[in-house]
Amino acid sequence: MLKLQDLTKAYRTDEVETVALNNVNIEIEHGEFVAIMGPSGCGKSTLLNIIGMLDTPTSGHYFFQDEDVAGYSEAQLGVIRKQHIGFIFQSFNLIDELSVAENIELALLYHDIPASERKERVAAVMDKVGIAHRAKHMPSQLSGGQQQRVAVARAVVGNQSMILADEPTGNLDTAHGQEVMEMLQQLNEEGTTIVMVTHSPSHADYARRTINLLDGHVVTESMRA
Amino acid sequence: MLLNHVSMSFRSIIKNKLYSVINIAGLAVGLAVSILIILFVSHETSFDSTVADHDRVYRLNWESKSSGSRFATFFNPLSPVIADAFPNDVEMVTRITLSERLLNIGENKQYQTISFVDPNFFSMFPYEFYAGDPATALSNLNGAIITQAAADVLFPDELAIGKTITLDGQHDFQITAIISNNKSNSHQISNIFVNMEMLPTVWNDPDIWQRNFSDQLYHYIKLAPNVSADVFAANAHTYISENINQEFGESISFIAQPLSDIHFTTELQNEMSVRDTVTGLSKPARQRSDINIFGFVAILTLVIATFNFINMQIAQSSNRIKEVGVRKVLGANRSQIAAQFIIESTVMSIIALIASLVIVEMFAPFFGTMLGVPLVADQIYSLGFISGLLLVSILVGILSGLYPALFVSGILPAKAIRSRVFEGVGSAKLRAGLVILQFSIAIGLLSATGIVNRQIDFALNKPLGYEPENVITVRLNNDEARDAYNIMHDQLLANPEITAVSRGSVIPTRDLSDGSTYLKEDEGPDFKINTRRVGVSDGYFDSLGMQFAAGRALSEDFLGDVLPSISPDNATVSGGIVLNETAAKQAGWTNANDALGQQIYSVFSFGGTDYRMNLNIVGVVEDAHYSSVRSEPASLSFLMTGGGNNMVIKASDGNLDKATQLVDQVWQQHVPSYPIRRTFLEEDYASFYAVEGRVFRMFIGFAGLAAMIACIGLYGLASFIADRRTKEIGIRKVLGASVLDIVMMLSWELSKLVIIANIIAWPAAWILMNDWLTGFSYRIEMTIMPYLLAGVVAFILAYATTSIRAWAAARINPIYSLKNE
Ligand SMILES: Nc1ncnc2c1ncn2[C@@H]1O[C@H](COP(=O)(O)OP(=O)(O)OP(=O)(O)O)[C@@H](O)[C@H]1O
Ligand SMILES: [Mg+2]
Repeated sequence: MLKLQDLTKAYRTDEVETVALNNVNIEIEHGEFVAIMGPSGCGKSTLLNIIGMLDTPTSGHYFFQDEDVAGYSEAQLGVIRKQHIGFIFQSFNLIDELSVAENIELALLYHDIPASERKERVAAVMDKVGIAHRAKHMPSQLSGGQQQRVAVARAVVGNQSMILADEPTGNLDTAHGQEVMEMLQQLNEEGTTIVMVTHSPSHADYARRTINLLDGHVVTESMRA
Repeated sequence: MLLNHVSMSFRSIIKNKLYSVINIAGLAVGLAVSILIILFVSHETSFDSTVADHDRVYRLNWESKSSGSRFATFFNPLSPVIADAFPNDVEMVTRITLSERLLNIGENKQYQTISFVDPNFFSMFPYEFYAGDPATALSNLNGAIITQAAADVLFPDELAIGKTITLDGQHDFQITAIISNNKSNSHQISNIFVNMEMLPTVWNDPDIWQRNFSDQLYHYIKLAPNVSADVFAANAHTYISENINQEFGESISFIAQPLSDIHFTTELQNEMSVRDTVTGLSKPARQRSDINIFGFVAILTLVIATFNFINMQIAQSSNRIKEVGVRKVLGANRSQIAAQFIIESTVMSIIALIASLVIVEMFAPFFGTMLGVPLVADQIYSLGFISGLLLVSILVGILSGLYPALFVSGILPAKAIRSRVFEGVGSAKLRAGLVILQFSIAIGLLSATGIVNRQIDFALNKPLGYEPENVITVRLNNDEARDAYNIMHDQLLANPEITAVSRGSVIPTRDLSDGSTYLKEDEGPDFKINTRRVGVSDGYFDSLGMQFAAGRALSEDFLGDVLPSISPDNATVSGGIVLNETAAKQAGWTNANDALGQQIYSVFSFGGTDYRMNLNIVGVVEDAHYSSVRSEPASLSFLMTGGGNNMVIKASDGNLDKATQLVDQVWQQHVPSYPIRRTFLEEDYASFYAVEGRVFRMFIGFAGLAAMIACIGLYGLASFIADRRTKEIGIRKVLGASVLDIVMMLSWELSKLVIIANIIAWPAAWILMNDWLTGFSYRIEMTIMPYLLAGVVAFILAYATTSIRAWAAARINPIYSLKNE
């Protein structure tokens, strides 16, 4: 599905250069469930942002479905991103002023989909993540786990083939964290590629493969038996 | 504690630089504009207020019952008679008359306006004596008082006192006093004063005090406290008609015109000139409605700027919710936090006030020049004005601090610390409401601007009814010139460069004077045609390019046209007459051709003799605007009296310079004793309307500024909203929104308020402008266009302003805006 080749990302601030990613080579197949782990500041989020085309590498190649997107403009990346990639964040990032259904629908708003179809798809995805009875509620009226389920629904409602999740359980207690992981697992079983950053080894166990980063390098890659 | 609050305020203002600058600048510009307009308005409304007891001082006017014309002058000898008859009502009477005379100082000859006054003129009007004694300066009949400005012009490098000036080459006067200049807000424009008793001599008019019906003087009268001016005028009128001449009772009424009304009365006959020829300052009378409009704009601008400020402060406060939480945790109580907000806004509004005073200082002279009014910022620095401004700023500060003080200070610290930003109760609605009001005003002003602009253009470009191009006018201001008219006429006409030469009692842009009332032969004595009379010579219409709607011009070729001079020995005369269209319509001839050949007459009695003029209508001339285009064209009648103190010379195209040279030569040859007084009608016409045009161009500038201030506010608000919604923008971008999607969303959100604002602005502006337009006799049709245009302009401005900010917000990479905290 995607292949990073000699990928480097350096941040330059006030004469200080931080190399967040250093010569990273990773390949992710379609339908994989990959966990990224490593200590704070090792470059996990940076890696995810580049994979998610929210950021561009300083050097190296990024083949997305055999297309090198490393030199693409922001607008070009935006077009690919909205078709293929869904995001889940640690802090849910729902819009407080919109209801659950509206938050999910937002992801379809920029896809030229007629209103009637949008409604159907939102209803379907809400059913799938078990949040349908909360459709008219505002995010502030939901528990953290429920909010994250809304976020998951939002990430997949546009039929994205890949979900990138940056510490999706970081703000959740064990029980709710478990729920979200099971949902991701289910999505993966249905064919969605998932790349997830996590600090929790038990949550990493849901993934088939774990990539360990340290100071911008890939140190180990382990496959679950 | 207060000091601590103030120093905290400064820190917070500096910390939030962008908001602070935008906010202070908006308020400062708004305040400055308001102050400048108020300076202008207060200058205009303070006219003659420096006269002691000015609320008891009146100028006597008279009105002709037949024509309805009202005159600024009053009958030469009658005010002292009235004062003697009503000693308990009248405290003081003084008179003045102005006439342009030739003034010799040694070899130097120049025309100057000489004013003949009763010596107590200087007790009524507040001139300061720099040299000389007010009590005795005019007691010697050959004494003259001059203003400092006149002294500077007449005696540039010498001491003026004791110097001699000679009037008309024969009357010597000695400068006995130097006085202060005319105030810019006084209707007086005289600079050289001599004793009224010299009038019979200088004017060579020994009977001047015997003629009860001559009105060549302005009469000012100070009434005792609590005397009603109307009752007094009526009593004086009764007294004069019973004791002097009963004709006063029949055909004339008296009016006591309050001194403060003089500057606001535009339609009086024989009005004193408004131009001080020594200083060059012109003080044109204003329409009260114009001044009111300016006052209104000042208030609206201030309101816009204030709303702006309040809005920004409210918006700002919700960004500071966390700071409030931290303060509370550290032990601050609610009232301390409320005080902090209020003091901070007040400090900002006072900074804005100081900045606005700087702006006023810088722009007052420019602004004054534009309006033709000497504006000095010094006027601001009176205790009353400054404390008023300070009060406004403090009020604005408190008002804008109040909302955050009430709501933000009340929030629980736990909640405050948790939320990055906070929407107070109803604060979004309040802000939207303020933006709508602000833009209603801005749109209202912009549409008013469009209408004003169109109306002024329309008025200035409407056909004048005469052609001022290539016309030279020369004052026949002395007997030598009047006697030489015929020969100058013939000599000038012999040149191919000159196409017409004529003479008239009145020419366009100069005051229409005498009224004449005519009766129709076939109607009763109650059917009156009231007109202003213009005495003309052969060729008058030709030289002014006036067109005939029917018939022909008066001409010496038709013997019956010429009107012989009327006298007790020749009490019935007949001649031709030309009416203008307005006069013909007034007489009932709506079709100009119907008037041709009709007979009209006028009768009057004077000194025991009944006079009659029989007149044959030979033509109807198209209406011409002799006075302001604001008013209806006057009803005019033209008689061929042969006299008139204006010579009109029309040059052929491209030959104006040559013709001017010829005029000067011919004058020098035939009127060697007097320098020529010559102007170009086109210039006279232009200066006649310059002020009018300029004042309203100014108005347009202000409206534009007000709209700009509203936009500054909108930018601030857009910044605030963009900040508050950084996260949302990030989410939307991650979900696939393009930069353009975001910009359109944010801009629309604020700009739609502007569309709502139209709903308020249009009807209000419509009503006000309709009212303003009624002041014009020639006015544009009110259409929806200026309103639509104003709405569109405001929308585009608002959209552009918010887009600039929204663009910046939309460009932010979501990985930053969505970073976990
Ligand atoms: N915009 C930036 N400018 C400069 N340096 C940055 C920037 N973003 C990240 N970094 C640096 O890059 C490195 C990697 O950051 P990154 O956010 O990818 O770490 P992380 O592995 O996600 O950490 P955490 O587990 O704490 O989320 C860090 O040293 C960080 O300080
Ligand atoms: Mg991270």
